[in-house]
Amino acid sequence: MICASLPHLSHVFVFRSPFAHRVKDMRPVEQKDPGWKLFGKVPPREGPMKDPKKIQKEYETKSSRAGASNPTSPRQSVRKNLNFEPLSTTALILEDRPANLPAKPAEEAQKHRQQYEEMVAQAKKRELKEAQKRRKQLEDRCKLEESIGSAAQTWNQEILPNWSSMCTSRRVRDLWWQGIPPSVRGKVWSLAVGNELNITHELFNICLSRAKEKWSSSPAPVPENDAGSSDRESSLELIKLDISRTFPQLCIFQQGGPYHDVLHSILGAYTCYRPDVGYVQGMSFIAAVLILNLDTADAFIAFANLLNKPCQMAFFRVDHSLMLTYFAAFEVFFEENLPKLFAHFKKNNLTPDIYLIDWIFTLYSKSLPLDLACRVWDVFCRDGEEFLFRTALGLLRLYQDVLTSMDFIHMAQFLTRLPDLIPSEQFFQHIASVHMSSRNRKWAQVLHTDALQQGTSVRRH
Amino acid sequence: MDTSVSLIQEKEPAIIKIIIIGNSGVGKSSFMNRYVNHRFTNLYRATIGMDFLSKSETLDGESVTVQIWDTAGTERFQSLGSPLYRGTHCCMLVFDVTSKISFSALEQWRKEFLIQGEPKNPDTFPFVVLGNKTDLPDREVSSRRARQWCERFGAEYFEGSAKDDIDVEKTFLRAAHMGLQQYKKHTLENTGHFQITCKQPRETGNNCQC
Repeated sequence: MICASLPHLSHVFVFRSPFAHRVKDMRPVEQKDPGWKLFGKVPPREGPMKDPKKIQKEYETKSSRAGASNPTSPRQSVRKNLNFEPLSTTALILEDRPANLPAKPAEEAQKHRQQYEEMVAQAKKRELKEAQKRRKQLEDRCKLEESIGSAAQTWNQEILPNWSSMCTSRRVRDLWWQGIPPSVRGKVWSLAVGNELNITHELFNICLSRAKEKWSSSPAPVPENDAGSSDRESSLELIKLDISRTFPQLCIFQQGGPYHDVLHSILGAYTCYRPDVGYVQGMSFIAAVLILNLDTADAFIAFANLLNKPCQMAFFRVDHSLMLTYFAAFEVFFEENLPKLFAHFKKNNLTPDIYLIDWIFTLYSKSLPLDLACRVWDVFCRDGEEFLFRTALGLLRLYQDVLTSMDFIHMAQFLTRLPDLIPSEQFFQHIASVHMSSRNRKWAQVLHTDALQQGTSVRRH
Repeated sequence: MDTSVSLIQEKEPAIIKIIIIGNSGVGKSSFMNRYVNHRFTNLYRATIGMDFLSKSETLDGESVTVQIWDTAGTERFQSLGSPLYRGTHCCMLVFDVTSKISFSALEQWRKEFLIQGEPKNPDTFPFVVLGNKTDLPDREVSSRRARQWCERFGAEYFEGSAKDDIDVEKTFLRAAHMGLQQYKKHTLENTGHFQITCKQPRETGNNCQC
């Protein structure tokens, strides 16, 4: 484009050069025969790869000759002024006409020089701006790291030693919302989840050794006609299968990975601790996230207590009517917050179970990038089950416009495979904008009214 | 504007809903992904609840949208089935040819589907049975045995491998085809009287999806 409006400026592309294309386009005119060989037996790359180099070389030798006769070539002065590596546009070089052509009139040359300088100035400005942007990003990252560091200090030195008195204070809650620094995350989660079940490290060890006994007494092969009906018995098989399918991309929970045995231990111990619940899919993801932040025994304690929360119990026992109660309560707030999208979902028969089952069972650890999921967990530990549904509404709010333009299957696909890159700050702003009150009723009130109407009972916290 | 809208609606492709069920780990998601995205990876995550993909196909010159509902394979999640199973046009029962258990579980999966999905024609409802993982050496279920079981209730049998991309497309195309027959039959059965009064069979068919 630039070339067309300004003749006699040769380009030197420092980075990727579109030269090859241009040469290819010109070929039929310049050398008809070899051009056809592109489709023949000649390796197609050879021609266009060689030519640009040759042409460039020719240009360079020519321009050095021309440069020698023309000491006012701006090339050097431009180079001197650049205090950063030039990008393609600033590497534009003003050249005189090749020697075999008549020289430009002075007026035209002047005009071209002026245009050239304007272009270079603009490009420089753009590059400077980009450099500033990069610097800003770096500064932001440093600032973020610093703030994480200072937040970690605050958590370690002020909040954690005075947990019970401080955990409900406004200041701590605000700090909490911004995300718990990874170094103290596990401790805060443990404290927030609590240990209502009074599980000790000893109890964990007992459960674990019982699980190991079961594993070593190699399970008798399941009789064929019995298969499928003995899900709880085959928990062990299922655990094995699921461990390899838990965060496979991290490559740490799989066979031979550093946390494989830990994950196996926690899930196995849990089936001995709560044989009535056993292993249910989704648990492996929750245990894995805890393992990433806590020591084995503490992870187990947090795991068992977390699953003991009313919402988690309802889901992991697959208590269908209770799950429907949760979905119904969710829909009350959905309609309240996003009436347009709610109507669109209704019209398309997109029921909440389609996306909420995955999100609630794994506490978002499967559907969100891990760092975002951990931030959701942070506030879930602070606010309880309500936050899981608020997060769902935040996601729907964030993607409201995209979703409104989709039909059933595309919405279902979108919600069960969320984008890889979710803008975290924006996402949390959307969560913050979700109102968790409907006609002056809070989440718990809506849930319990629904439960009463449906004749189910939701255990209170 | 109204006429143009109705014209577009009439041209909209039929939506064929295929549901994939079978034990955990037999490769339901892998098979679906191979068909739609032409990809296979060992890094699959367990499916929790449901997973969805769709693909446009042309069957006998008719364009259709194949909607695939991929389910979690654990028995515990089966109780969630009913709303998910309803409105299915073809059910794909998947087992792993290296696991007898996954094969013998099909009986239960099939029953469960018929109870919860409540198809109008349980005796003639189209089932496709698929034996996956034929790339593996330690086979436990022979083709003959699988075929015999299928004959008992008129299911069509296929086997192949999502990993090596063997007969994946063929299986899905057959399932979509059977689904389209079911879709048409379903449409005709329910909207026969509409066809006499107003000639919009396709549109009423779409309403039946709900």
